[in-house]
Amino acid sequence: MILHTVKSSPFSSFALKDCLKLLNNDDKLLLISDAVTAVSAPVDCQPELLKLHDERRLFILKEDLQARGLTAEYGRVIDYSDFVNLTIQCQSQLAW
Amino acid sequence: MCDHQVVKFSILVTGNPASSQSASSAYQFCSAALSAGHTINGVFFYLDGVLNANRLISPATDEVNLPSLWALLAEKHEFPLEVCVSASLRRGVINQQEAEQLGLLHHNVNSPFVLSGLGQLAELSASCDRLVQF
Repeated sequence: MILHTVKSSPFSSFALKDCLKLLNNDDKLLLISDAVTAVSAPVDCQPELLKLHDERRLFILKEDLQARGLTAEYGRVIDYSDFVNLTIQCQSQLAW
Repeated sequence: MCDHQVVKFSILVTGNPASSQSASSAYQFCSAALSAGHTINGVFFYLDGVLNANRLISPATDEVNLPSLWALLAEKHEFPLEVCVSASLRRGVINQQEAEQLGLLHHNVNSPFVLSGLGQLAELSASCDRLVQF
């Protein structure tokens, strides 16, 4: 089980798209920094993100959403202490 | 591994403190891990992340000074701040020893930041429970 952390906006990089292609069935996805915009605006990969949301594998960092004045339309909003726990639950982390 | 165990984290920082959020996210992650009772094994600064070790960085007084925050956190919790030496020399991030060897008049890296090599990153990743990259 890998925790994938994506930090760049889907409007300026392919990181999120590429990450979604490589995500395994039990991997989790955490959106941080500019990548949090993916759950507050319509994006191409929304179907894949909604599927992850249904499977409870999509997480959004609260501090980064708040810093940008955005709200998440789906995904579970977590804080830094949950982020720490996620890295512990998963065997390793992959930064995109 | 479960949530209530004490976990040893190593952190890899690759972003410029002025233009990327990487170092700020890493700092907040370290603070959260320490307040949950976990330990930080060490932080390795690589690529533009080495700019975090520049002690001459002086942002406006109402802004966050990441290099000094890192130094305070590392001293308080006694973990090393390792900085990749070859990435540093390319970016003008120099300690006293390197400045003397290269015949430079000034240096901008002080303790607790230490210039070290990629071997140290291998060491940090081998001796921790989790390596987290920012």
